[in-house]
Amino acid sequence: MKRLIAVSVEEPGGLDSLVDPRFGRAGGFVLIDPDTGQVARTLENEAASAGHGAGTGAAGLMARNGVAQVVSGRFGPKAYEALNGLGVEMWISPEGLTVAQVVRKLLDGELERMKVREFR
Amino acid sequence: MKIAVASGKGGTGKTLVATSLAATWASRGHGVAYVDADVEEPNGHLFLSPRVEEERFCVKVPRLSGKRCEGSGKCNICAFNAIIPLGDSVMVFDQLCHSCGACVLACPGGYLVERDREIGTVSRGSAGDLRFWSARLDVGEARSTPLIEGLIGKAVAAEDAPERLVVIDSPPGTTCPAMASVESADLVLMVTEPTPFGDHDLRLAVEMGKALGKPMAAVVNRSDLGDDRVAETLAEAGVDVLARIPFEREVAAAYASGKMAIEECGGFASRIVALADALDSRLEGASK
Repeated sequence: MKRLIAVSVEEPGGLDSLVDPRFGRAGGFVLIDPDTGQVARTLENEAASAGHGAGTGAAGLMARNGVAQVVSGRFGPKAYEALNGLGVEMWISPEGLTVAQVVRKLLDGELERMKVREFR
Repeated sequence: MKIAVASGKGGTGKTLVATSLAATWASRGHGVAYVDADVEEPNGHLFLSPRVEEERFCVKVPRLSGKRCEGSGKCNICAFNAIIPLGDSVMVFDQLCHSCGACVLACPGGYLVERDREIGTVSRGSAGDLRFWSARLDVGEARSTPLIEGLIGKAVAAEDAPERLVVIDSPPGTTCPAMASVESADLVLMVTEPTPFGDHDLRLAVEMGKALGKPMAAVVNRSDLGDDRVAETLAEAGVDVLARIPFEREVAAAYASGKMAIEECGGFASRIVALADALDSRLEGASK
């Protein structure tokens, strides 16, 4: 069942972890239960060090872990294509927030949703 | 015998040397083939003006044979994350795929099959007595290495013989495309220039040649400019300099207008003749 919120983090700790602005090459992910706001589990990002395909690898990781929404600073074009195909919503985090802060903003409707593939 | 003309740094004169050398050998009645392996920006044809036939070149990519699979997720073994299981389907990222076929083997129900995907064009033909081969990667493609391997494989199968010469004009750099273009060579001829960038990239290129176990020789182009560092680098590495080509405005002008500089500039032509002689004796020694 797909329902969790994933936040890309530099180190997969918990609610106090800092948001990693990169999706594909994030250190890991903190998965949050949207009903309780608590940590469901943490994931190392095994794709982070891939020469190519870090974005699609991380997208696959989301799919295998029941993620419905993912929050990060930026999503590359292949990650966008993969997450879009997987039906995972992408949300943009401002810089310098913790997992707790950015999840609060997401639940309060204060984040921007990424709906257009960007090349940069 | 196969000679790869490589450099490390771009713009040192690989194509100038490779086309001149191939044409000089061909004029001596040797059976010679020129192979332009710089598939991202081939330009040997501008100087040799060959007549060619073209064929499209394909790599294998995985596809579902039907609309759905059983969703085992076993295809999630890709080292390049080029395929993602999506419930009872998959998503394939063609640009990331290295055509290894592992996902097809891993799929327990046989739902994945390999299909051809076009990535470029291979040209073959002739320019006078010279056999000519080149390839061009399609715009937007990310990986040139399969096309280079395919081009050289076809050219070597058709042209290589002990008494014949194959001159491979390599792409610059020391990454996979450059390695693929020198991998089958009996000798790597490094074309360098006496500049700081030339020396820096020559060091990398010589390291590549050593890692691949290739005999090497060098040409120093624009040899009267710059400093002595490339000469020192080559001496330290034990790579012989077979030709020094001083800068001549006439050579640059001929090259810039797509002409063969050996037909326009006598001094340059005699240096290429001497280079061909030096390589002949080097290759004779190697084949004994």
